[in-house]
Amino acid sequence: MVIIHPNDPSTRFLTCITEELVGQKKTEITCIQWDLFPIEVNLDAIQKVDQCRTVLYMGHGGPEELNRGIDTSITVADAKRVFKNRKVILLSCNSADFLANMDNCYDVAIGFGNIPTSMQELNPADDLKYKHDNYRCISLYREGLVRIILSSLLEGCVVNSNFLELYHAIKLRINKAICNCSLSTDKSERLTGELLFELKKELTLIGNCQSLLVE
Amino acid sequence: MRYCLIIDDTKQDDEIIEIESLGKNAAFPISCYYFNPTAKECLREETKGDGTKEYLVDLDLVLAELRKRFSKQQLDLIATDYQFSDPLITGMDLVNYLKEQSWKKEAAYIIYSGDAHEIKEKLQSRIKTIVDDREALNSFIEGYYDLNPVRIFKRSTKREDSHIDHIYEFLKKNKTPLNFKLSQKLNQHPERTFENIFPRFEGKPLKVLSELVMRNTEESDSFEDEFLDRCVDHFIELKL
Repeated sequence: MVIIHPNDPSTRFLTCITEELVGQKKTEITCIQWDLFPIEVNLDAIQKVDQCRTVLYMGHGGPEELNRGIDTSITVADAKRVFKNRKVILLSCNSADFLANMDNCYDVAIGFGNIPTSMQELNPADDLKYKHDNYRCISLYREGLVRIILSSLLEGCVVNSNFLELYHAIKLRINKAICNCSLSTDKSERLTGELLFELKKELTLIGNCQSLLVE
Repeated sequence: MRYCLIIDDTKQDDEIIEIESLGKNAAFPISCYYFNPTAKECLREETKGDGTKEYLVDLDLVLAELRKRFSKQQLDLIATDYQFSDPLITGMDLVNYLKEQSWKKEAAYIIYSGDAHEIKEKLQSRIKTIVDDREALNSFIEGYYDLNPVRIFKRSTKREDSHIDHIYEFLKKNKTPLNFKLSQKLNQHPERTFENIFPRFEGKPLKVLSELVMRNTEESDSFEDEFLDRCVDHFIELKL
């Protein structure tokens, strides 16, 4: 697996995913530093990666771009070039839309909807809803997200899942987290459950879902 | 467990024991209930021309009594006799009425009768009057099971061909769809509200959701899909 996690203080909470995946011995993990080099070098680095390896991107993004670091990004056109026929997991905001714009050029991909991991990422209506107790639900949501994605990926590496199984494993963990939140009388936890519900609703799997996470 | 309601104006104690025993022996548990539509709670008083009083089965009162006793009870099958002591009302009238009122529409209705041939003859006559009218025939066929029983069994006095076996066999062969069971389960707590995290449905009374899952709409599918998704995942143990 190849992990791309651009250096950005606001996504530093995702670092433990990289650390834990690197720490497990069953799967070879390579980390590509995107933010240190010119864009063509970055894109070239990915293209040189063996096609059978899954690319996991973790960072900020949107329907038209993936961040390379602070204030730089790659476009859909760039992504179509480097992710062509590849297995891709984009843990970034609105990556499902980004993937939709890529004209199915990848082999298989998992994308997400909006992932509000800081209060700055909330729209005004959501800000009013989630500001309870100083936005505590956002930090609970971040913790939950890391736990869910990391556990699912680790399990996927150990049991050699295909992308469909990985997708179901992520959803399973989200459902369990939602159930726990539902049983809580803590308003922040219930709000976290609502955020997780939205996460699950917008989780997308596209392409050849029988492709293996790890070859 | 399957649940059956037998509607008959003669007591069905022995029959119920026998059906439940058949189920127990086959490791297919069945629980039966009995309802008498000619009981006094279901009768209205009318004065005849000569001044005497008579008591007639009132379908509204029958429905009220059924609701009182069985609204929260899951039922997979409602089996009714065709002939009652009140000659003005038949089991077919009762089934038509209950289905028209959408009472337990998720359950299957069957009729048993010693005069099953008479019922079928009436049906045949009805079809004969419309067989040459394509629209009427089509409408009749499409709407038939909305208001009519799914089966009409002959009731014999001989044990080997009694309605008991028909009821048992019907329960064994016909699986109640999951949304029917879910609807009935939700209706066991009609006034309680759905408080789980599912924004579209949070706060809704369970009786509303009970009716929803019986409809064929996007909203119904959305609820059922999420419900099943959460339920199944709830029972899975994660090792990692």
